[in-house]
Amino acid sequence: MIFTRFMLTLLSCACFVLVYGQRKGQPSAKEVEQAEELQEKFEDAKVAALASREIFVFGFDKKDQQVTVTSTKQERLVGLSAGGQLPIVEFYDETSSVENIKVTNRRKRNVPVYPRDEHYQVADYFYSDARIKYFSLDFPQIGQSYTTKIEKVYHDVKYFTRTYFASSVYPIANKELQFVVPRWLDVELHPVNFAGWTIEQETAYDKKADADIHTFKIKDVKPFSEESNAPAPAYLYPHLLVLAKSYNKDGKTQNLFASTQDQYNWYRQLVQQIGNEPEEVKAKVKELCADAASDLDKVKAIFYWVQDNIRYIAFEDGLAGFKPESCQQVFQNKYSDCKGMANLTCEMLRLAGFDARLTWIGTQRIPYDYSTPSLAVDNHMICTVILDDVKYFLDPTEKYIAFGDYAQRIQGQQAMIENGDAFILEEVPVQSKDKNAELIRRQMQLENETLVGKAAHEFNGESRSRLLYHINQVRTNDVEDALKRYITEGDKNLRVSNIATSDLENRDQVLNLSYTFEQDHAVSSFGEETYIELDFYREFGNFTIEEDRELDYQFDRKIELRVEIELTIPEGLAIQELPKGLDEQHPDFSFQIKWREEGGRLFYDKIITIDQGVIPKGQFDTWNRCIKLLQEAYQEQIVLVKKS
Amino acid sequence: MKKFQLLLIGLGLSTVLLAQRVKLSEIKADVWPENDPYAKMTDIPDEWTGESAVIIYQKYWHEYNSRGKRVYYATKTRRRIKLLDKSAVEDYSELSFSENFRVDRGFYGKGGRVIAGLKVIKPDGTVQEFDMEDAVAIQSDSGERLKKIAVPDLEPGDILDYFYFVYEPFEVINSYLFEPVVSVLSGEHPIVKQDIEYAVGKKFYINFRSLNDAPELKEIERGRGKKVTYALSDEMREGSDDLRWFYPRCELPVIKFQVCFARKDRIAEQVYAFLGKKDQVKQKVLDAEVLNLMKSSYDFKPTGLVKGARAHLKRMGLSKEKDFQAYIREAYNFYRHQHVVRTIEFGEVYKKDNGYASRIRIAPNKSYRERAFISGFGSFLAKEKIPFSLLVTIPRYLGDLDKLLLAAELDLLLRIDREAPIYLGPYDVFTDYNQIPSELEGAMAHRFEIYPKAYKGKRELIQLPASDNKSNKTTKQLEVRFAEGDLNTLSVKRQSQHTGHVKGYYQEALLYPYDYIDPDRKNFDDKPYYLRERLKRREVKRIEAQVAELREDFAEQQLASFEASAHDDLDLEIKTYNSYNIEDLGRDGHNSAFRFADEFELEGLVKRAGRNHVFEVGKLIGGQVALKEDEMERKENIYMPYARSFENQITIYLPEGYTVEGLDNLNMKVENETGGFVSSATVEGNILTLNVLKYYSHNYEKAAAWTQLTAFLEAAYDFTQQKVLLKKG
Repeated sequence: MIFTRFMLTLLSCACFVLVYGQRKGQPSAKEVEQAEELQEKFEDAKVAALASREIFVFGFDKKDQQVTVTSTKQERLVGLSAGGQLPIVEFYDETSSVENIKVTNRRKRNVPVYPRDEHYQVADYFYSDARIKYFSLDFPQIGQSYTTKIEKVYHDVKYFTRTYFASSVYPIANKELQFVVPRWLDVELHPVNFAGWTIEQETAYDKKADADIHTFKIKDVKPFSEESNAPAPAYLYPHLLVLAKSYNKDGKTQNLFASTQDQYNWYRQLVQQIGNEPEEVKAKVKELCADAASDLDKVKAIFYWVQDNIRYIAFEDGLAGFKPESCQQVFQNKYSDCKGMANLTCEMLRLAGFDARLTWIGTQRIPYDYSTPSLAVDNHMICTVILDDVKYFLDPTEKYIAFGDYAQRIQGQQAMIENGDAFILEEVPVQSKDKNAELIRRQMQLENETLVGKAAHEFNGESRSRLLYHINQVRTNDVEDALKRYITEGDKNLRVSNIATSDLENRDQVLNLSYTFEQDHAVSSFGEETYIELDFYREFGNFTIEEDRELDYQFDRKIELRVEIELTIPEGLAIQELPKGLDEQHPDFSFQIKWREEGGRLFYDKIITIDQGVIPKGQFDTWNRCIKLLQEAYQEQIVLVKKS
Repeated sequence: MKKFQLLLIGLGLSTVLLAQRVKLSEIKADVWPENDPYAKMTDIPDEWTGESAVIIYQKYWHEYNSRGKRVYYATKTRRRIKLLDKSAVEDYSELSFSENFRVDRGFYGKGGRVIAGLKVIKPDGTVQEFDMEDAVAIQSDSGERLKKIAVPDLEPGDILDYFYFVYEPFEVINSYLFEPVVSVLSGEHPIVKQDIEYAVGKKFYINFRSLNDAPELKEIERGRGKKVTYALSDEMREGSDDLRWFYPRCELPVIKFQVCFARKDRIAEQVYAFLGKKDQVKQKVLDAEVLNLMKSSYDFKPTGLVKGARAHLKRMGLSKEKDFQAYIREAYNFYRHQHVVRTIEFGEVYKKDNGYASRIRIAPNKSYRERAFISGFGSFLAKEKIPFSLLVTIPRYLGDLDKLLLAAELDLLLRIDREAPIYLGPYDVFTDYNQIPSELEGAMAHRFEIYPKAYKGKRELIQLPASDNKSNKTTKQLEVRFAEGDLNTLSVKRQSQHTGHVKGYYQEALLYPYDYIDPDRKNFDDKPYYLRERLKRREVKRIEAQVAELREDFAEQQLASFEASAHDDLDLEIKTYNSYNIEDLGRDGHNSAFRFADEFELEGLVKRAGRNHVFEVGKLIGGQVALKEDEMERKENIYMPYARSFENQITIYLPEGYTVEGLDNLNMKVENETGGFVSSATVEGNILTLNVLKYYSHNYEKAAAWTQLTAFLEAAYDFTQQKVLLKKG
């Protein structure tokens, strides 16, 4: 049969590869035993690095007059179960290159690999110059091992900002980082998150190379966690920030990022190359400010116009990753990244006569501040406007955010504000949860077995900007349906009409959403008793955190939610017994439900807060216990009985 | 974020495409001619001002040309679209298109070219044209190399006018059949005007048909070298939305077309297609042509498997004289094993070894399976001297048989001609003896008698029978007990049984390869592939280790699949999923049942109400169709997959010390021509019993019957919302 013949051909191909692996890489009993020991240590892993050593040698490129770094990573990778497979991925971009990749088997014989070289598609990025070279290794048997050696060169030490001990993919039993720092170079290896880890450090002097050799060793490092809504790896795992300060060549000392001022100077010279031609945006500024009654109105008009009319499209392309696009280019294109949007905002504000400054900032993904000068410190650019000596931070990439409101991701972060040849460091104010307050009020009465009434929702801060953004993304002919879906959460039992909203473009006022509703099946009558379920949304009712979660749970904002429900008690009926409610106050969150009866009406007040937008790991048990109590409270029905 | 990708059907060019170099200026001159009548069109009809976007004009060109063995295929699309809101601007703010590529057609594909162009027309009439050279190269998630451009200065009220040109040269030895297209003329956005144009060279055959009031194709030019140009023009087409239970190609204006290249006329006769004359559009297929195509494709001469099948049937002690149905069923299962199941393990091991499925198709595709079945099983029946016919039809979602135009639309079946005919369809892992694929049920079909006289006996048009709701049935028996001291936790023992067409969904979702490989292997006395071939012992050992791991992987995945399925069925959170047991695979005929039992715990259905508890008992029948307000009225006819029924028998052991109240609302009866929902609730001692039946009588209903359907659908939904009171005694 043709099919059988074809299968045999394929089989023989497979055999070639595998037999090759087996004959020349057949694991010994000892290797199998070693793999089994690793498996006990790293339970879920299919492959681990028995040893991983990275050597970073600092050098100097005379032609480009740049300090370079050559990294050589050598790893012995071991299969912990049969059939494992490991992708080996090495990143590079315009400032670095992967020079050499070599794989050998246990007998030190070369294993041919053919790495693919492709663009790396970064989520949410329109374009990135990041590229990857990758290939994959098969581990058909437990104990199967390979040694990989990858050489990579950073052509400019500025872009070599940090290095982790852990891998993002596989566990490592023995990790060693070694830095060969010639004495002509001043580099600080700044330890981050070392506390709680046993890390051996030693420094030796290599006379021949006239270099200090700094070695760091750590054992048993698990890969980065894949848990969602977790703090960034820079907060969690030990790593070294590489702060290249200066070098001395031919008797001359050249500063790199010796101080924050040096870093600022580098940014500033990039800014000076922008080539802004503000004349081209003048007419628009004039138009926007024409009807503004006050300075504040002018600032808002410009800030909101950029938010609404410039699409955020992230580019990361070499130096363009640090240099903002010119204001006229962004104005013409109507799209840009954060830097271009910040620059346009600044230029427009300056045209309107305001003191506006470009501002560099690291979002909350970044734990460092400018005391450690490095390109790793920031990842974002905004605009600061100074009004009556007060600094306001404007981030036009945040859609529908109000002037004076700050997104959670930059709150409390240190910002570097342009100030001529100097700079100003200042923290973005931290705003409290009530700034984001969301309130739901429902007034209702019983009509047969249907709850009928009216409702009003109020949204502030980030809860407002989020809803405004989503609604403004919806097709014009679908807005009412989208609001209905939002209100009913797809529940057929809730019918809404008379939907009204406050101005869906206005981010300065409370966002109001009101409607009338009829809700079926929330009331059941049995004999002379009527049972009612009042709270439709039951927020957080199922929000238990998995027991084995290892990292803090982070929300995208601080939360304050208030629900106030009022039920008119029908004539002739009385409440049999009020549920006892709930009151759980904790430092990071709180749950409160109160019931009361007054003047023929039943009142239900619920407040849920997550004060910092984080549930710390240490609070998971308390959180889950509270959720259980919340569930029980949600399950409670109000019982109405005939008045005797 | 959804971004717009230029993926379009194609085009025909008025430029001669034989030249290797295609110039951007020439394409532009075609798409945006100097005297372009649409360049000034900026307004949209008043009735569409509330839309998100309106297509002012679009045109598809398709051009087919050849020289010797070389075929040139070019498609071009122009679209002029007015963006009316931010959502449309967002959708069109980034355009991506393929990079130049290697053509994957014919015997040898050459380098294909892609050219795109883009203009933005502002409300004041200013036109800005963009250089697509600025596009950046990226790789899509699927690995495709694309170019991407961010459209500058785009705002609501702007018009985007873009084109996309694809040029594909390739070499053909004898003939090449282009992919069939069956496409509705309406789309996401309303269209003011659209044109489709085909320019076909002298070695090409074109099949084209307009259906459901779509405009007709007209010949507009007969050029030199017998090149003919045809065009279709359409106007004021409303946008179409997705609709529940609807086959758009049966009701909306639709075009069907396919083009074939054949170097010589005698070669054209060998192509599996209904070809007309080279310089004419073929618009209709005659019954005789269907017969001729079948005659030339299937001769039912014995294949090598007949001997093996007979030997197996003999070993099983089966004889067609004693039990004809068992004989045929076993033979069908034998062929199914040989053609489909037998190859699966190799594919799985390959995937495990390499991390991806084999590029060369291990699991046979539909066309392979159809050919293997018609030739293979047909020849078995002929050899066995069993009278049978070949049935030729088209699936319901493509419309009626009299709308047939393309051979690719055809589906084939075999029918054993007896008083109670037995229908057999192409094999797949879960296809069954005496089962007509649901998409063919009720369709008209050509019947050609094959045995005793191949193609020379009776020929007729028949209607394929449609299975009834009783044969396509899901039955679930639930035993529900309250956990001691915790009324909120219910422990459930469930027995599920699926027959007919409904079981396929469950088999696909819940069964894993060794569930059927092992019993098939035992039944057909077969060995794993690595023991059938002469492999070295070490290699066999290695594969065996892989197989052992595969079995473990599948067991783990299967538990998760069963849990997910219980969750989907009930539309409730499963607190803990304890166990499952597969009792019958249901692979022995349409009516054989796929049966399994499982046990799990649910919570959240019982709510405290003072001393008593409210129990949301209606939810135990699982999620029901929840019709939205805008679905309550309907103008379109209703196309469903098949008639079907769902029966729930639920036994609830009431907690000690409690009685139950409020059963009245659980007794419902809504029945009409289209189906029904009937439920009853009774209590005996501490046992509450619910019997619930929902059924759909047909696979198709006229639009006028919608209110009848909604009547029982609403009743079923209403049932799920019913509660009873557990009253402390």
